[in-house]
Amino acid sequence: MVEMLIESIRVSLMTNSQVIILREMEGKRRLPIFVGKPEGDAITLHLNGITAPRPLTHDLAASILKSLEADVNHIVINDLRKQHFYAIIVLQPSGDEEAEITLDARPSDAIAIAVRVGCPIFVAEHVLEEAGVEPVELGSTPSKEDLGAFSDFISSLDLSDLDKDK
Amino acid sequence: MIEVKVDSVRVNLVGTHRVVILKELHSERYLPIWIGQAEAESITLQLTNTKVPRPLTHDLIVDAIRALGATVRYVLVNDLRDETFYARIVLRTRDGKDLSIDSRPSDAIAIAVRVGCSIYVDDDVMAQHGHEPEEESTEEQQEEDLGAFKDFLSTLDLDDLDKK
Repeated sequence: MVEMLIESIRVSLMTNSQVIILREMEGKRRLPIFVGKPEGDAITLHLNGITAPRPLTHDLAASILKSLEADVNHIVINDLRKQHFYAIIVLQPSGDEEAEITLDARPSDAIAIAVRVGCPIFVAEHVLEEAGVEPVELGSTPSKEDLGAFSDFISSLDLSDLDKDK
Repeated sequence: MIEVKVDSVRVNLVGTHRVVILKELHSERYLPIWIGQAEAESITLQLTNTKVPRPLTHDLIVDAIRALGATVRYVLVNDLRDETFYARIVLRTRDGKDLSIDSRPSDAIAIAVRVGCSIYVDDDVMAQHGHEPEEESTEEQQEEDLGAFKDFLSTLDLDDLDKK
């Protein structure tokens, strides 16, 4: 399992969907996950510190878990099948260190709850291998080959002419 | 507390809001509550027994309640302040303790239809904001409504009809 951070939430201007970009905590891989608008909004609102006047559905979920004295241990995006991500929410009922309860969830719901209770977000390694993306590296010194067109141009200039009067 | 059932979920064609109509179980009185689109869809999908491939947020909440050994006793629409309805979800824990949790009515109803528990509305809320359907008119009222025609009829001299 690889621990992830929420890097950003992007809104598609063409459709109603949003994309959550998770970033590896100790690495460079990113995992983009499409989520529905209500779930995307629920995550964005909370991350921006906006409290709705009335509890949103995920606020309710978090408050029910708290009232029933269950801690959310962590969430895991644990599978990808037919282009659908799967997730689990791992609960730990209070007073029972041994017991763990695993709930099947959509990643969007799991993440919306994770940000509310402040628990870690994990992704299974095989999911990250299959669907993770690495950012394109930008080298600091461009190689001579990349600059080929410019060097050709520069070498075609006759710099000895520069000082001469017209 | 007055027991109600979900009569219908209605769509507003100009906005994204929906209306859920709660009808009193033993009377014709009903209470309309404006709710959001996502919550309305969640209620509708459950009431029409539509299977969804992945659990919706309210399915997840119900799964969590059950997994933790608790049950939903009932939900109650208990207040209306500043044009906003308030509700409570009453849970019974594994140890038999009752917990009352603050909720929007839409979420409470979406959970109630999943677990099949009773939905109640506070007496005062229903008394102040419930609607009665238009009464069927009585015979007396009907006669009154027809007054204009009656007056017209009585001005006619029917004796003249046969004469030419």
